[in-house]
Amino acid sequence: MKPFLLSHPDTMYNCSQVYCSHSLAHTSYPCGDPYFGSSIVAYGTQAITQQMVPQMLGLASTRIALPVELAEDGPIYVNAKQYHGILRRRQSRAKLKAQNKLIKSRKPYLHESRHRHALKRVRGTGGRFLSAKQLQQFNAELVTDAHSGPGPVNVYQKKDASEAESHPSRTGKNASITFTAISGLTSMSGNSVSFRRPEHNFLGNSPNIGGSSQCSGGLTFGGGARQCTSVGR
Amino acid sequence: MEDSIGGSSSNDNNIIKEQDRLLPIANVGRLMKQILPQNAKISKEAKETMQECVSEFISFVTSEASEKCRKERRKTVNGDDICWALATLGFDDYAEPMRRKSRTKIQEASTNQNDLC
Repeated sequence: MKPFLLSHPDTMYNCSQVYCSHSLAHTSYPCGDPYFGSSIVAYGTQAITQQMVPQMLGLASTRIALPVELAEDGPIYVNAKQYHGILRRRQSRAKLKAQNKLIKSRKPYLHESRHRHALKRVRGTGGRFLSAKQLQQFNAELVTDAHSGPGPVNVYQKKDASEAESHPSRTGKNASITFTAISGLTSMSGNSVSFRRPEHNFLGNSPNIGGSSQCSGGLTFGGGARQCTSVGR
Repeated sequence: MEDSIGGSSSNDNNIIKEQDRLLPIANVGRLMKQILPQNAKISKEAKETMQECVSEFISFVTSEASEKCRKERRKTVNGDDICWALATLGFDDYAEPMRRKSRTKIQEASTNQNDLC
């Protein structure tokens, strides 16, 4: 069971109506409502409650809560404007879950062949892949005496050098494998500069190959982490 | 669509592929790094969490815009529908700059898209 990390309740305006949706009152999905807006002045004499909700950027502001439905562990307050959208997204996710189409866990790589190719590549000092000047995306011919760093021949490579200096051990081997798969997806042209530039951001010194990591954390409303207990339809 | 460019995948047909449901995590990490100081580091868990958040946000706004198109019997969701959906969902501070700089942002997005490839 993969938990949803988008439980970010947020409200602003007062509403005289209380939306009552019995059909979804027993669903245990948290609100998929990431709210990145700035704080808006809360007004209205019919305020139900006021709560301090930390936003994604760490700002704290007082919001007027609007109860829309009762979850298992208490009410979840959302923005009145986003209420219907949240319910629609919940139905979409429940539909996908009923069809068993959501991915259960993250795989460390997307393609088996690329994973094996990355394992076969020769690593130099510091764990970086050894590469020639013209690095081909597939069938890269590795030589042991090639230099691993880029030369500052243009703006991108110069920026690569500064970024590589500032992040020497940013990610481990698992992330580099993940990057190998992603770069194959995103790079259509044979531009070696655009391929070489992200490589230095993600190559690391860790020799470990981690398994699939579970994504946890996120904003939690109320006490403790929210566990999603789903009942298939 | 960027995510559908990839080669053959070993996923079976019933499971939605990770690259179809989520943004590429490298691009998400790169965007997150732009706002941070030079020596800052981002954990992998943070990137994955942000990846989930931004992907869900895209689906959230797009479903609102798609609902508007469905009511108006239109099949194509355009930029104005996205701006309208942002305003409808309460993201007014984003909707107005998006509407005002819509043409410029499209060009910038195209440029960034070329840089990423």
